[in-house]
Amino acid sequence: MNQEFIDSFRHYQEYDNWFIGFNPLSKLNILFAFGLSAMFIKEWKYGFALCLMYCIFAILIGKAKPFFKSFSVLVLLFGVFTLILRQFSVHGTTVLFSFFGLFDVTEEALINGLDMASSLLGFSGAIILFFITTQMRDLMYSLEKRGVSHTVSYIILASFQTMKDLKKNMETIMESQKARGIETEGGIVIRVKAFFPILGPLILGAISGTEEKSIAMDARAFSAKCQHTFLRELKPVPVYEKIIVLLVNLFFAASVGFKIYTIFILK
Amino acid sequence: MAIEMKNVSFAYPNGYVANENLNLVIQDGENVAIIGQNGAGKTTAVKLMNGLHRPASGEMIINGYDIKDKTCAQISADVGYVFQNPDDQIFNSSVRAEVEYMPRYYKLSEEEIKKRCDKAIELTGIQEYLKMNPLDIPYPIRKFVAIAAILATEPKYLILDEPTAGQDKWGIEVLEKLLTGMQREGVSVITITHDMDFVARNYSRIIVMAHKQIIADSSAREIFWNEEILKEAGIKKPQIAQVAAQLGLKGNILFRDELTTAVLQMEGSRL
Amino acid sequence: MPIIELKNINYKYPLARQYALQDVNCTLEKGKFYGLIGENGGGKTTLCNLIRGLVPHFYNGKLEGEALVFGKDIRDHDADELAVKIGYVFQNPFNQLSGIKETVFEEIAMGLENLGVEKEEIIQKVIHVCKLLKIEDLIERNPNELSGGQRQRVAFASIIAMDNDLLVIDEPTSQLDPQGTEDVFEIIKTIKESGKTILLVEHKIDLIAEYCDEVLVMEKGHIVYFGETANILSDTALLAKGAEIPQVAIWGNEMKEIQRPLQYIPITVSQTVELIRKMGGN
Repeated sequence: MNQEFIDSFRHYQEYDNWFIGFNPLSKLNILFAFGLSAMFIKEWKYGFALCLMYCIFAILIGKAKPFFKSFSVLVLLFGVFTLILRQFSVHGTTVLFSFFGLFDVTEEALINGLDMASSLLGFSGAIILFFITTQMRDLMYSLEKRGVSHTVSYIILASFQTMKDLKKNMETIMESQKARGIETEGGIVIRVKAFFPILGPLILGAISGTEEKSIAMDARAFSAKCQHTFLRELKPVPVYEKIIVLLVNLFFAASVGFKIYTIFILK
Repeated sequence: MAIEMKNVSFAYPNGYVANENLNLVIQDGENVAIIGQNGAGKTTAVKLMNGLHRPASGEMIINGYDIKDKTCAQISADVGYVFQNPDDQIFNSSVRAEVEYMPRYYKLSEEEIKKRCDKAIELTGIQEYLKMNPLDIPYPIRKFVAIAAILATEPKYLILDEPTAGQDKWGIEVLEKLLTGMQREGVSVITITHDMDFVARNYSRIIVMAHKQIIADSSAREIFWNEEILKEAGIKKPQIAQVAAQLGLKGNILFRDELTTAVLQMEGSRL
Repeated sequence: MPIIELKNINYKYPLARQYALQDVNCTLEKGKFYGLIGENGGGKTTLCNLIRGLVPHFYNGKLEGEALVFGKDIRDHDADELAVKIGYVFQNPFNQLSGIKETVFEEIAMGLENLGVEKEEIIQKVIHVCKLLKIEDLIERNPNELSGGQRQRVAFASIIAMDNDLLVIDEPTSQLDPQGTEDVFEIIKTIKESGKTILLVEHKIDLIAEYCDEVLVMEKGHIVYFGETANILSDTALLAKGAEIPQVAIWGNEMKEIQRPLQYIPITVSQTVELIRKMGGN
């Protein structure tokens, strides 16, 4: 048996990168604060600067590929789409240019659109960064250590797994329907017809599986009343990490304060 | 017409090779058992026979045509495959509807549908469950419902993947009756199973698989008395044969009546 | 001291028309290996559910009679307490693993974590159990990627690691090949030798004959036979009740019928060989 692997449980879990090694709740706090700040300060200069920061940060921590993969989808969805939509809903006066004389793009609408888009991207970028730097099991571990129920943690993690299993189960069911003669390869009509024979066993399998799974978890002393121990542990939060989180929170508070100031005082 | 595998090898998309160089021919009406340890490649081999898997190399010919020209669903009209887990296959709300599903899918006449289904139901002994929801009947009986549903498609070759697992005495009896019934109809049955007594009693031809290959293809008597093959494949003799082997009795004994004869002879020669 | 005492048990699942258990009376002693056989639908799994406390705590339904587990009535037991004291392995390997652990090692450790065992002890117990079940090469694998047979062994390991006094095992070998099945029975034997009580539901009669101390036969919700393995499995009357007996036992009975009886009816290969050698008196 791999001794190194077994030994890894005797120490706190280690991560290559300083940020990824932060406590999941610290990461949640930091990234959520930045994300929310983008929603508050709905200014395109801030929003896009933040997005640029995310991109650079993703590269620095070695997660460039997964970040850009998800973020580019969102840029299209939230960014471009919102921007275009806003052109139709906001009416301004300063026309910048015209689309074939049919439609005017105004400065006000453009700015408004950019503000909206950048704040959405500023928020979602932070969320993406969180999920690519944090394993769900680590997050659940931290929450349990803070007192969240063991059952809640199991349900969340098991749900993620169930979704992954769903794909595999669907493939098995599809195979068995193919094997009895139901055509699954071909045009869209054929595939739609094959859908129903697959859906039934898939859902029923998931439901009946749930009963057995809960009995199985019961057999693993899931409901035992004593204090749980953990095989796999994360290091306690070091002081410098706490300081960083504090600074980020202060920054966030300051940005909210600044925004309120600009709205109410400067008006 | 036959199922022919010529130097067939199969590998999963991730590169893992599951079958190497399989060669076999299964004629119409043959009753074949495939045995061997888990991981030997039995299931992947039979999945090659109905198009669920495609050969990475070699030729897979069914009833004279190469399977590469047909979809799995098309091939299944000739080669029926009953999955190990019936719940992956059953989705209708009554047993009768499940059995009738494929004949209806093929748009056969009402008369033909009734004929086929009645036959399938009789062969699998599920008459008393017809109106019930498959989920309300015991799991081992559901296995028979899945078999009936495939039988209703009247394939020329029937593959059963571990039908004996979890079956009680009655279930085994129904399976044995089914095998006889299929023989009568001229349908080839290919069965994967771990039950050696069941194999010895019901199959004239046994294919032994180990390490992704076919290591033996012969009669029960020859295989269960070949120590090398048994060791390589990780299988054991049926109980009566074990007794005969330990006593050093001749004749490659497999069945009780043979043991009786041999023991009486042994006694007689002692006196 | 009996570990299980069932007196005049009648049980019906909710919404069921028929009783799943009828007039069940039996006593299970500590430290014995019991085999439970009989036709499907005969009540074997329900009996396991009862002993395990799932009936009545999980399944509800109508329970009549007295069921004492570890000396206390099952209705008075805390459901969670029973779950901890009684290990349970069942047939379907796909629903026995948590799905939330990324390695087999962690999966097996989970039960011990729930019991509050100290980390180093957890590690030692998991290593021990992996060696016992010969799954050392699987410890770093993701449980969700294992085959049915591998999952079954991991599920087994996970329960055995918890060191329960009573193990209820419902058809654990259905997905395993003959070698795997033998391994499981050997392990169960080892566990029994350390003083645990085991109730095993199986169809593989040869192995029941070789390993079990006593056998219960169920049919239509009743216990129709209960006694020492050698006595029960040598009786051809079982065949009419939907149960199997070993081929050598059937043969022994046949020899008796043709007036050439062996000293006694054998139920294992080694017994048969010995008896045949003794025939004709040497």
